[in-house]
Amino acid sequence: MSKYSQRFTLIYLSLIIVLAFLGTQNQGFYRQQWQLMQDKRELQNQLADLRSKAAEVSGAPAVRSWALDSGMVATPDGREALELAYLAPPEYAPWEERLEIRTIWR
Amino acid sequence: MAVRQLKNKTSDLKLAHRHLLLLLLVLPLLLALLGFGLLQSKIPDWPTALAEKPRRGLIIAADGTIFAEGNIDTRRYPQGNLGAHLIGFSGAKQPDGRFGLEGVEYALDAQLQAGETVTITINPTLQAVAQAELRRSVERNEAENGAVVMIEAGTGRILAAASYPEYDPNKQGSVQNRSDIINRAFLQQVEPGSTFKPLVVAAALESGRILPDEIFEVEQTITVGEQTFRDVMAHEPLLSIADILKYSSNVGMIKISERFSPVELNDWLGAFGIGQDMNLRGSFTRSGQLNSWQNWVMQDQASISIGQSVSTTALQLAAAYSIFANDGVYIPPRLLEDAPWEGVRRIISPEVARAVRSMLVGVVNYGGARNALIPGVLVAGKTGTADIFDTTQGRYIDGDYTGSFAGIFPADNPRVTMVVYVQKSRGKYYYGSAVAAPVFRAVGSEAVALWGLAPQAGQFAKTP
Repeated sequence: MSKYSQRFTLIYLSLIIVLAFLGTQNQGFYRQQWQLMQDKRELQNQLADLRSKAAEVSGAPAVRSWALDSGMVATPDGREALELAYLAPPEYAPWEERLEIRTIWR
Repeated sequence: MAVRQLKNKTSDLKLAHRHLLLLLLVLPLLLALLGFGLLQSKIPDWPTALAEKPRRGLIIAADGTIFAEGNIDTRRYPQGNLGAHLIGFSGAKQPDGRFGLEGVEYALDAQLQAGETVTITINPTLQAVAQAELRRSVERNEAENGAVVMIEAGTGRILAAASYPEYDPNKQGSVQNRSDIINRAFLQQVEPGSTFKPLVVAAALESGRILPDEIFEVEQTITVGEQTFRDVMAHEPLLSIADILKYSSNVGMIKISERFSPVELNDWLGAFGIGQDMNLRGSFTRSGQLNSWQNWVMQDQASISIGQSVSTTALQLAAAYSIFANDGVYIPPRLLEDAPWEGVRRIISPEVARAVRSMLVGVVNYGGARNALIPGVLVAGKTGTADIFDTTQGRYIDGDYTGSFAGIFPADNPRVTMVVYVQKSRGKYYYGSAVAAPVFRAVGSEAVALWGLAPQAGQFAKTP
């Protein structure tokens, strides 16, 4: 192999190596970013799923159902409600009819 | 010169060296191709560019409640069937480039594709109440379908628009009966029946065809052309205009309508928006049906005056009633918070609007609409029970009715206009006062509670 051929071959190989290095790096970044985009999409999907689940327990229809089941009466209908207090009042407990005196000697 | 020297030197290379050089040139390329091939096989969804395309826009309510989110392949509707008929749904790309298939998703597809957030005027709490109470009435009365529309006075904002049957847009593919996805509140045209009468009365008062204190001689029946019309409720022979509405007298209304020529009545109803395109941004609507006055036969004008031979959507009727709530000004309904203010116009004077409202308060308090009373607030409204015309058979169907109620509350300081109808009840009752008015009352009561409107003295006593 002549001198020229050797030089050209070396230059070519060097360029190939640099190109391969850059290409590898680039692919690494590319895959990383692609993975990040996938992760972001996955997280957004999870967020949407959680929002749906949250709506099932705290959305307007769920809150209304819960309130009605718990005895809610809309204000205008309040005066027609027969049972205004949800819980019965505590039972009457009479005062104890005895006198207790404590003497402290100093 | 240099090229020739290079050629000579290259020709000096031995054959083995040439093969080696060729291998060194080709091998890296082959490896690179193989590497790319492997990489591609590991990434099934090969992105053409790493720059993210805009995600499909959100559809939200003014209070931040999210109705639709996610990209086209992962589109979700977190509220389920709440507002489903309005929101619609999206799917595979259509030949016209749209992804939206129904509702706002369809109507505002370009905006959503560009990643813009769409804010609708619906109040989720009132929407939930409207849907639940409509569902309850339809099921209790063994009815087929129904709709509720609630419009804010002064702004035209649509606060609730419920349709029954309901569906969940997350599972729209499994909906057996595709008619379940129809937004009946905006698209189903029904003959309004007696709820139409206040529009004719307002037109007659405004045009001076009748006087507010005029007394009419009203029989129980009247024959116009080949058709005989009857009053359902028995009444005295002399009725004021308020009495005609209170007794929902068909004969009285026909006598009022006879004061108009066909073209005049047609023009007045057009001014109220009947048979007119609603130009609602964000959703499709139907314009209702008002036949050209040139084609009216003798009894048509009489039929129209009592809300038959004419059809409207619930939205259209609510918009027309809003004229009474807005002291005579027509404010087009709005579904989008950023919709431009267009088409606002005065139709009747404030005096006529208030007079009609006052008559409608009498209908609710002393007529056949006491089921619509909302304790603590004044309610103005009118019931309706209309025959249903079957377009395929070309005749009215025996035993099928639309029971409706259209009203305004509080009547002395209007805040809301609401229209309710329930169709084809198979239960014990089918009248508007029995199937629609209770829905109005229930939804209205919760709206009053939600807004904390102060009850008016004496109003509680009028509760049935």
